[in-house]
Amino acid sequence: MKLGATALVLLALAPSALSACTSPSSPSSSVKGAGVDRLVAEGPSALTGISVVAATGREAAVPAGEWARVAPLVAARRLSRPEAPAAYGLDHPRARLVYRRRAGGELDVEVGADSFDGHLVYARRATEATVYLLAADTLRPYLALVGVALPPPG
Amino acid sequence: MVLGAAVVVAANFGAVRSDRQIDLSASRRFTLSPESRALARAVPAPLHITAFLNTGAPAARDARFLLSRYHELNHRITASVIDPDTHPGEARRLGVGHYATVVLTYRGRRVDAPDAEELEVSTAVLRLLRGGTKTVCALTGHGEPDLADTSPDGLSEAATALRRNTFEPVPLDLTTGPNAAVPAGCAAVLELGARQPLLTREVEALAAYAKSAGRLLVVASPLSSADPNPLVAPWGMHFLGGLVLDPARSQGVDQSDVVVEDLPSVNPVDEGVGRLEFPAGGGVAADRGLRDGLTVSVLARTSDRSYVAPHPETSIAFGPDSVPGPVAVAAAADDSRVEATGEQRVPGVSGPRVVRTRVVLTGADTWLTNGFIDHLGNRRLLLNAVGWLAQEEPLVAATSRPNLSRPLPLTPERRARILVVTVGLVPGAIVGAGLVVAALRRRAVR
Repeated sequence: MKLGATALVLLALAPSALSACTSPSSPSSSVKGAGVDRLVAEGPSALTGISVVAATGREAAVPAGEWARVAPLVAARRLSRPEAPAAYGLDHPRARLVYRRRAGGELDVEVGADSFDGHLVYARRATEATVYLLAADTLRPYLALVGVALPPPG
Repeated sequence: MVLGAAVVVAANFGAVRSDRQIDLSASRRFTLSPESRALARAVPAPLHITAFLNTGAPAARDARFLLSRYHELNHRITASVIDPDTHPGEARRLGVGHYATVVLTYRGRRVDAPDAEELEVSTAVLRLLRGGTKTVCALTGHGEPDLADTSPDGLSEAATALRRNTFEPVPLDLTTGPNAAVPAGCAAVLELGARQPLLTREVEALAAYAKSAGRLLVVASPLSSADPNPLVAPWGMHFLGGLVLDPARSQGVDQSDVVVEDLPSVNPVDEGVGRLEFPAGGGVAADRGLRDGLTVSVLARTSDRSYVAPHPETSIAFGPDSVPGPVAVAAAADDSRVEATGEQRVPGVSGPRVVRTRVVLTGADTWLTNGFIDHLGNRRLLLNAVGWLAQEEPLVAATSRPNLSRPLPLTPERRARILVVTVGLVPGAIVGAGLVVAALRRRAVR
């Protein structure tokens, strides 16, 4: 009987608890979402090569000593409800990062436009629709190898 | 038991259907300040607020909550929170290059706020409503505290507060140059605590400016050798000097650190000002028998137990030459008169015109320094005074960020009240209740 009454009271309090969950949080200066998303999960030891291919067809290999900077490839953010690829320059990617796996096969990461503030760059796996944001500072030196310039943020 | 559960269920489901909210937080952080509420209600046409924030972050949730408070008060205000990473085209269209930028648009005008906080948003709303910034000229050259000085004795906070409220304070030096004259672009002239006397040419220039529909804020101080009376006397006010002491309403043991609780005027300068803290101030007097068109309002005065010690350097005790309280410490003069010529509404024809002079005088200057401007209602008094002088509508942006400390000045008067309640009334009530119970029991036994 007591257990049933407690359950009833909890049930009754549920709407209030739910509405309390939507109340504002503590003041926060953070503007970036938390969590780690990886476009490429493999580390350097699982790869046989990484290259950069510009939209013009120009291609360059990422030096083996620098693979650890882009493998695994960690995203700053994953967009949960993205617009059409054209909004992010992913309908005509300006470059691709090609990862060759030791186990066989390749993984292409398409690189699109800069974000609104120039700190990030849109990217996605060639076979998926999910859009990610990568740190422009990470990609800048490798895209420069094939003549793709990422201007520093203003 | 069942009845109790039914009541709880009914209360909760009833509450879910209602959108009424009660803010029980100590600092009322989920409620807009009175200034912001007044601003929101004053918006007469559609105003849209767009905040650019990462919609997955807590800041976006806080922004939605804040902006919905404005919409609840006035449905002409609409708001949206846009994620600039998800919608970069919208961010580029509005030229937004930083997270947390808030874009407000109203009647074709646009103002950006740097953050989705109440103070920033309200400041931007005020800028939109006023449509522009007015220049206020702060007199320099006599040891006045600097508008850029961030030390406790400086005026940087006052300058920031003015800027947030669409006034741009600029220094005005009348001591040099071929002829001393107040520039036409000054919406008001602020004399914020001169330490040395003004030159004769400056006094003449300011007197001429005031006479021709000028606006003056004169912040006097008994610690200064400058005499403000040549500037304010033509407008029915006098600075008495001396040192105001208030044994009943002062902060701590310093009786010259006066807490002013009597703000008797209906003048907009007192609007929203509850109490003031005026340390080391002198008295102010409003003249009697004023000419037609001139009105003087006492804005703030001390308690009945206060007095002005005329020679504080020798004694601060009440003496035969002391001026008994209540003592005015701030006053405002408004003079409207008709001049024969000057009206230019009809091109080429100069007809009679109405000339309006406004002057505000305070007997202390420390109250608006960085060390004191956030004490009690000091900041609001400054904004109200400048707004009234510049003939802006009586609106101010939220005067400062919410303060987590809520000071209650423990004046001797208040301490006496606490003593009466805690030592007299509460124990007395307990003893009285005991006596009543005892008497009732005795009657029942009989």
